[in-house]
Amino acid sequence: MDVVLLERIDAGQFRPPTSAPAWFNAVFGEATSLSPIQPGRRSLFLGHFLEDAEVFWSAAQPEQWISSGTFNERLPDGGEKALEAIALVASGTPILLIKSPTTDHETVRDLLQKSRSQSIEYGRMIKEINKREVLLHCIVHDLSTPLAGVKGSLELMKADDLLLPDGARLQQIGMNQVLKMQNMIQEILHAFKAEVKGLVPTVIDRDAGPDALSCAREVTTALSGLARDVAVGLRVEEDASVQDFSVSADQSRLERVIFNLVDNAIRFAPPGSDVIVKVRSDGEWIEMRIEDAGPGVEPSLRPRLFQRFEQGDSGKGSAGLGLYFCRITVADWGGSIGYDDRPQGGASFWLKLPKPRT
Amino acid sequence: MIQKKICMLGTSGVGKTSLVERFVNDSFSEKYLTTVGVRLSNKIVEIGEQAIELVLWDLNGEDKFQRVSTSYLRGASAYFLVIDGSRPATEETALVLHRRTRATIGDVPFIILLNKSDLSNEWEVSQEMLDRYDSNDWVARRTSARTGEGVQSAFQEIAQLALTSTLS
Repeated sequence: MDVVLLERIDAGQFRPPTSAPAWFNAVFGEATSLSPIQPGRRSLFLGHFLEDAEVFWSAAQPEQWISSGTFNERLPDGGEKALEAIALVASGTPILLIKSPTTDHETVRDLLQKSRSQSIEYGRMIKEINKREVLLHCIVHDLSTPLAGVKGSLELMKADDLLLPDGARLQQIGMNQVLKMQNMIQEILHAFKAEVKGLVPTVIDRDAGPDALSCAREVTTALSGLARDVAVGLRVEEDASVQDFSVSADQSRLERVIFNLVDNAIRFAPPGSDVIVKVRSDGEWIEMRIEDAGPGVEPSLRPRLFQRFEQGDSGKGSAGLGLYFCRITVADWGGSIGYDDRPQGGASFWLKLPKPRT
Repeated sequence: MIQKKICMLGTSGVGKTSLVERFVNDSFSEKYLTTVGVRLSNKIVEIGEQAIELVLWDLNGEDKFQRVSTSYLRGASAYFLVIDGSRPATEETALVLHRRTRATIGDVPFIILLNKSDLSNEWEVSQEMLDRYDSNDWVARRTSARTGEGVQSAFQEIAQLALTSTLS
């Protein structure tokens, strides 16, 4: 028997059940006579819930009920029993139901166990990734120190006129290579700084969130200079029938995700073409599409597109962490990200984000 | 005997249940078992000549899967905010819970537990975090449910706070 039904006689007092399962007797004591039982005295949690139940019973309407949520009681044998109490009114009589776990409860518990274990493991993995990348960052950073020494020496050779006739040409070649290497180091350091920072999990408010359309506009404004430099048009198109574009996400990271996708699109768009950020509502989701008229993504690369260190053969991307960052960030918010070919040619990256709960 | 309700608050996996187990039964399990709902335990401590029964409400962790029901907080004399010192992001949820608790039951004493201090290689409690606790006059203690470091004294301290709060 999974449910025990108790009829309220007075505050905290209930008519004993005609028959009760072993777990009920173990937790709440065996009823030895027809005298009322007081289960709230045997279980502090139930005593606490009965305070709420008394308030509920005083004004309850038919078909209304309140639940205690799951609580765990220790058994005399050292084991534990998960229970739930429900207060309701039936035929004008206040009733307290005490239930043992249902299949649903077991399923929920197993799912929570699995999800939380994975979440903790994910956190550990991210930490490990960060450690390695910070190490790499340090190594790259350390390379810049001797490089500065080489550059200084080359400059002195020229300034102090220490060069043989052919030396000036070789000195210039050396300087060019040093400057190129310094630029590469700067690019790598910038990429790691932004991307490694983005991998740390955050807590978001599921009941409110940033406006996806505003975020898209912020990003396109920030990238308008870059787009202009390469003669690419950049604009946002929103579904005018939608009033609210808020999503369950963290604003700064959402802007970073959109930034990565729009930045990529600008890099691959041919001069004279447009990059368009489309924002629309799709049921419980807000969908954003970042479209360009570039070459699109090669079919062979698509299965690995959102994995780490994938940047295609063009070398136009950064360290290959950008799309990976987008995927894990969006997934952490309960959303999804993907890629489609644009029918008229070009790439269409999309992301779907959940709307806030309320 | 005076009875005091103490709530354990924090996100999942920070060690709330393990701290209670260490304090009540002086035991520790390496296996992570998530708490669904609420689990109550009790233990008597002595503050001077006064014996106090601490009723420990070990609440489910707050995360993207579950929220802590504020109805469980009613009647609490004090609470612990548990943070995993090897995962500084867990502080964020602790502070969210702190604000919600204050909004629900008012200015009740609390102690921040920076748990898992045995993970010295992974320890990431920053000076900035400690300075923030100092500037707010919040009490923060290092604990390890695994080794027992700081656990008994933290519960003893919260019993003292709960008692003092009632008397004042």
